[in-house]
Amino acid sequence: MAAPESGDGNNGAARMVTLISSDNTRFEVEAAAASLSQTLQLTILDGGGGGGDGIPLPNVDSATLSKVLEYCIKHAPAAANGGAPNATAVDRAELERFDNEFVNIDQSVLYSLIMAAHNLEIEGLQSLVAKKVADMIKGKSPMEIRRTLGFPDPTPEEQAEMNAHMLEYGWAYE
Amino acid sequence: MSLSSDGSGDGRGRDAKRRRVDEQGGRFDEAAVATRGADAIPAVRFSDLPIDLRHRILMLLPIKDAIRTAALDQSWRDLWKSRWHPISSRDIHLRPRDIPSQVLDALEAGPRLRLDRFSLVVENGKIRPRHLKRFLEYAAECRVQDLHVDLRRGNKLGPKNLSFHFPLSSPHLVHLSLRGIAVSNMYYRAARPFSALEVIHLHSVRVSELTFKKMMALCPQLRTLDLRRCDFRDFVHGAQALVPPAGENLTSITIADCKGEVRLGAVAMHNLRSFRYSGNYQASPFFLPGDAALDHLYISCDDPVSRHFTLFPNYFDEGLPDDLSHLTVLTICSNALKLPAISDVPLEKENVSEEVWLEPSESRLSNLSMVKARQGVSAFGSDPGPAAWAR
Repeated sequence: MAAPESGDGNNGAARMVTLISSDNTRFEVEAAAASLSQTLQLTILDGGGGGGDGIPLPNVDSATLSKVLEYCIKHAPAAANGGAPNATAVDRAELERFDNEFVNIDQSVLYSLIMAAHNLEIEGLQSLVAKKVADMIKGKSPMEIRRTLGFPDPTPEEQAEMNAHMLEYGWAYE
Repeated sequence: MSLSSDGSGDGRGRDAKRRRVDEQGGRFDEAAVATRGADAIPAVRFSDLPIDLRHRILMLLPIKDAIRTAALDQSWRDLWKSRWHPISSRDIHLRPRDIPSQVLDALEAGPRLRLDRFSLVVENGKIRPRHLKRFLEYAAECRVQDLHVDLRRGNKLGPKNLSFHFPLSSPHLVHLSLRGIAVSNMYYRAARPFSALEVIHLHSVRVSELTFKKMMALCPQLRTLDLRRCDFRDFVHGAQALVPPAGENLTSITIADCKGEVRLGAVAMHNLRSFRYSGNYQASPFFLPGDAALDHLYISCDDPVSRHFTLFPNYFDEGLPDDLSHLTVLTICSNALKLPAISDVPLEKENVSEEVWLEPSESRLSNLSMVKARQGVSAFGSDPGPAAWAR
């Protein structure tokens, strides 16, 4: 990915803020996009993140943050329209396509994304990753669920607990 | 997908303003992420997901999938119950001193939050049919998915003449469990089918043949039918016939300690894989479709045994399907089975799965002399073992 080099001043109207990832990478992004994060919104409203300051995000590494911002940038226009009553079906379909593509990612990336969406309180992204995980679980046997979500095979103790639960809710396993 | 292509992908260019001002000025190394991801697949555990994200996930899942997340770990085990705040599982236990109308008033005063599960256990002589109906209406209004009704008759105060009106149930039912109640013949006209209903358990339930047929006809997706201690002898025709429905999706049938004949022979059941029977075969025989292809067969007979009576051979010829070559698990329990002559070792309890001793006919299994099994012993209502989890 090449960082866009046309940053400065080609749209002076939009306010920019700087976010600093845990590994000290600086990201400059429109305030409107960053404000999709409830966590960042207040800071930005208070005038934080501008100039040379930057907002440190010690829980988010640069790889994850760039992914998160990709989402925010894409969704910021629709969010600015207040859920977009005037959004066209085409726009919505485009966002949906983007979302589907966006979570079509490796599990470790997904996991980092989940934690970042949670820490930054980005509502839409939280729904999106939750849906992704739900889709990974749906229609699977208990063992398949474990493997899909990266759990090791159960110890005998865990197996006993699983069996006890299965006895209680046997109908859900039939 | 790269950031830059996305930024300009919509053609407006405004997104491209996000600029990386990293001191290294280098390319953001997505390959590194991918590599890390590939290496990390076994290491990533979704074990410490934030609680509110788990709620979001569970709310998106059908109830059966939500319950199965219990396979993950203790923290997930009971979490599904809280899918819909504040609670999504309501247990009502009417004890002898409770006043049904007061319990109902309190219940009905609240909002009709969506319920995963509603359980009503009655040990109370004051409950009347109108009370029961109100409880069940409440459950239906809460769009309950898992309904359990248990009328206990341990003492003289036990409720009498209470009926369950199946067609008035929540259309979202997935699992229905009834115990100690009669199923009424009312409200079936123009009743909607229960298209989500997959599992029915009836224990000590009185239901006429005609009503049972109507009930089954409303369950096109039924997969599991479990009948225990039901009495089929007082059917309309006076005879002993249980004729379940079209039953096309039934994969598992259990008949335990029921009275009356279980006749499934006339019905096409192409998906039937598991049949479990326990009872007195001479008095209450079963007849399976001749073309059923069973994987699991469990038979427990408690027919009286005398020196002059032999259970085998040909004992089950009429009842069993023609071809049993697909069986992977066969379990037979009977007093009539003798210990093999070559074995002079008494059968120890630990030689047999414990559940076999407990289920299904309780004390009458104390004479159990042998269990025949291929690929392990399986008994219903008991520890299913790892194989069942992997299913």
